Amino acid sequence: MGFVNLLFWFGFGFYFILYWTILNRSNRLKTRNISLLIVSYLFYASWDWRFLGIIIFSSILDFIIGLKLDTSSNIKKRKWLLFLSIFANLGFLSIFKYHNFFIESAQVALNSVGVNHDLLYLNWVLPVGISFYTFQTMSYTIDVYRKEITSTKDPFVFFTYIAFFPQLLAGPIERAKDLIPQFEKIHSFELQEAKKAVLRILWGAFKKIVIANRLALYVNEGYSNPEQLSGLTTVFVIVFFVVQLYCDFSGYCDMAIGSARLLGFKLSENFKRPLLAKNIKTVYQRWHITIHKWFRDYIYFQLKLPKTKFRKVVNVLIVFGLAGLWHGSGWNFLLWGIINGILIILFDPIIDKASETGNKLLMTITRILGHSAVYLSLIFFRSKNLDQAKAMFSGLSRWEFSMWNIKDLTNQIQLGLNKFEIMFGLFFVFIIFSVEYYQEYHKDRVNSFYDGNGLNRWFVSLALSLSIIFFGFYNGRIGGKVIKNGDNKQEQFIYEKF
Amino acid sequence: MNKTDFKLFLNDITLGLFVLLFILFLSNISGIFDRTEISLKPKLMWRDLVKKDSVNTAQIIFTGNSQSFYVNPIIIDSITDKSSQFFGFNGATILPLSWFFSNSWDYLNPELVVLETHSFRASYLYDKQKDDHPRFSKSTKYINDISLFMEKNLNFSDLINLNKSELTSLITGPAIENHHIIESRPYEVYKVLFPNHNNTEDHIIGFLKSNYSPISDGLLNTYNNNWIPFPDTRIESDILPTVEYIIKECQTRGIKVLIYESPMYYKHFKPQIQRREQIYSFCQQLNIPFVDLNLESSLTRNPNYFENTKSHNQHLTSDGGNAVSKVLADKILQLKLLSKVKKE
Repeated sequence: MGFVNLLFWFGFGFYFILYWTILNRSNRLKTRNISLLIVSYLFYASWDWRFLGIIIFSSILDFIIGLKLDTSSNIKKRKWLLFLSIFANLGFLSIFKYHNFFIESAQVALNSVGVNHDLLYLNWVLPVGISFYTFQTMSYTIDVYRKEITSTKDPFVFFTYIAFFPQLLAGPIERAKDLIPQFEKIHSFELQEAKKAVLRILWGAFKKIVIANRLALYVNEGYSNPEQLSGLTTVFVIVFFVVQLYCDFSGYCDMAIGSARLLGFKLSENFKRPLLAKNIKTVYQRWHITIHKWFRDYIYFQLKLPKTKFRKVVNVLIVFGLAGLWHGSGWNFLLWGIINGILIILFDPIIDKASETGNKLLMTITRILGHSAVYLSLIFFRSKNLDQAKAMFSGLSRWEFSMWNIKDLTNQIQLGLNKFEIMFGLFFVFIIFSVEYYQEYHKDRVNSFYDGNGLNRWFVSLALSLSIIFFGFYNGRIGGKVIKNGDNKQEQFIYEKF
Repeated sequence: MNKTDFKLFLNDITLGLFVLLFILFLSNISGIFDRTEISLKPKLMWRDLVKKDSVNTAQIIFTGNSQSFYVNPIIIDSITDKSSQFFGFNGATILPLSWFFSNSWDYLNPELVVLETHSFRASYLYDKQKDDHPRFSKSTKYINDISLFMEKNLNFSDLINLNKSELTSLITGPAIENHHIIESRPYEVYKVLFPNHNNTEDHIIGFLKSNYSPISDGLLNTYNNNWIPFPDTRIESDILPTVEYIIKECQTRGIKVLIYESPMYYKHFKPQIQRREQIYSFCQQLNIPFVDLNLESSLTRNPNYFENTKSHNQHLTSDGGNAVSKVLADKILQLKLLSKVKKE
C-alpha cells in the first residue's frame, strides 16, 4: 500500500483528523510520536512485514551507538562504534542488494581464469526502501560521531525519525538535525500550508499516475524490444524515460512532502526543476538533491583534498561511481554513475567559461549537450544489462523512414500506446514543463497563485483530481504488458526498488 | 492548534470531495462510466447476426479486411473440398475481429481459421471500446438513434434494410467514438457477411468479387523510373497479443490456424524483411504456419493481379483474387491443415 492507493488516503485522512484533534497536544508528545511510529511500521508492514525486523534492528543498534558515542570521549572506542554502525548497516545493504552482483562478478572472473566453481546466489527479495533508511540512519551516527549533533535520548523520536512513513520508501533522505527536532515539538496547524500541501499531493499524484504511468507503457515496450526500434522511436523511448523517471520520483517526493506537511512536518526538497537546468552540473544539483548532498558531505568531503587535477578526477569518479551503485547492483548502474562523473569533468571548464563570459551561445550549447548527455546516460540506468543498453544505442542508427509518409511515421512511433494516448501524454508533459517554467522564471506569479484568489486553487485542484480519475491508467489495462493480473505495478515507484 | 483554521480546512476538503463526487455522479448518469450498457448492445446485435446465418457450418473461416476478402471461395472450396466463409469487413483491424470471434464461438465450428496479416494493425475506433483511456465523450444523438432502433424490437436485419441511409450517415464524425464498429457501421458489416442472394456475382459467402482494374502501363512506367517504394513496416507490437489471443482461443478449441500475408506488386513495397522476420518469429513461438505470398514471384510479378493505385493499400484484382486463392488452397493442402482433403 502506498501513495497511489485510495486505501492509504482513507487511512491517512482518519489519522490526520485523530492527529490534529487528539494526539498533537503538548501533554501528549510521546503518545503522538508513538502513534506516528505505529502508523509508520504499519505502513511498512503493508509492503512486507518480514522486513520490519531489519529496520527495527538498525534503529535499535544506531540508537544505542548514538548514546554511546555521546558519552564516550575515547577516540578509539568512538571510531570502533562508528565502524560497527556502518558495518552493520552496509552489511544489510550488501546482503540484500549487492550480494548477487558481487557473486555474479566473481563467478565471471573465476570462469575467465578457468575455475568452474558455483558460488552461492541468494534468492532474496530486496526490502523496500532499504537504501533510503540505511543512508538516513548512517548519517545520524556519522553526525553524532563528528559532534555535529547530540544523540537523541528518546527512542521513539529516533525510531520514528528512521521510519517516518511519508519518506520511508523513497526519501527524501533527511538529516537528523533537520527532522529530529520536529519530532520533539508540537506543531501548529497552518491553513495556508495545509492547502499548499493538498495541492502538492495532487500535483505529485498527477505526475505519477497520469504522466509517469502512461509513459511507462511506452518505455517498457521499447526496452523490451530494443532491436526492433527505429531511430525515431528510440529517441522517443529515451526522452520519454527521462520524463517518466522525473515524474515518477518527483511525484513521489511531492506526495511525501505534502503528506508530511499536512502533519506539520517540513521535509527537504528533493527536486528543483532539473529538466530546466542550465548545464549538467546544475542537473545534479537539482535532481535527487538529498542523496547528492549525502554523497558530497559524507564521501566527497572525506576524500583526500584534490591538489592535482588527476586527484579531483578520481574523487569525482569515486563519488559518481558510488552514487551509481547506490541506485542498483549492476555494471550498468556503475557505468551510468561513472559516465556522469566523466561528463561533469569534461563539461566543467566549458561551463565555467560560459558563466564567466556570459556567452549565450556557449551557454545554450552546454545546456543542449549536457541534457543530451544525461538523457543518453540514462539508457544505462534503465537497461537491465549492458547488452540491452547496447541494443538501445544501436537503435539510434536506424533511420529508415520517408518523411513524406506521415502515416508510416506515426505508425512507427506507436509503441505500447496508441497515437491518441501519445498525444495526451505529450500534452500532459507540456503542462508539466509550462508549470515548471513559471516556477523557475515567474516566481511572483506562482506566489500570487498561492496568496491570491482561492478560486484559482480550487479550479486547479479540481482539474488535477479529475485528470487523475479520467486520464490515469489503472490495473488491467489491455495492451500494457507491464500490468499482470494481481500485480498492481501502477502503485509502484521506480525508486522504491533502490 | 488553531481550531478555526482546522475546521475551515476540513470544510474546504469536504466541499472539494463533494464537488468531485457530484461531477463523477453526473458523469456516471451521462453514461461515461457505463461501459456494460455500451458493450452489451453490440454483443447482442452481433450474436443476432451470427446465429441466423450459415456461418456456423463453415469449415474454413477466412478473416481480415479488403486485403483478403477478394479471395475466391469457389476455387478454395473446390481444391480443399471444404466450405469457407469470410469473417470481416472493409478496413477491419484485429481488435474488432478478435471481438467478433470472442462473441461467436458458440455458433462456429470450423476446422481452420485463416488470418490475414494486413488486419494486424491498430484501430482507434475500436480501441475506445476496449477499457482503454482516454475516454472521449460520446454523441447523444447517436445513442438516441440506436436506442430508438432497439425500442422498435424488430429483427436486426430488417432494421438494417429499413434504415440504410440513417445508418450510413452515422459512419462519419466523432459520434462513433466509444462505440463498436457494429454500432457505427452495421450495414457495412452486414453486407459483407450476409450478401444479397440476388446478386451473388458480387457477394459470395462473405467474400467479395474485386472490381479493381489492373496496374496500367503508366503505373508500370512509374514503378520502373521514379517510384519510391513504401517502407518495410513492422506490425505494432501491442497488436500481436490480440492476434495471439485469437490463436489461443482457436487452439483451445482444437481449431488449426494459418497466418498468411496477401501479396502486393513487388515494386510497390521495399522487401518486407523486418516485417517477415517479426511474423515468422511470432508464428514460430505459437507453433503455427505462416505463408508469405509476397515470396511467390508468380503472383507478385504479375501486374494483372494488382489494383492500379499509388496508394499504400494495393488490392487484388479479380484475376489476382483467383490466383491467390489457388496458391493459398494448395498451401493449405500442403500444410495438411484440414482433416479430409479431396486432392492430395
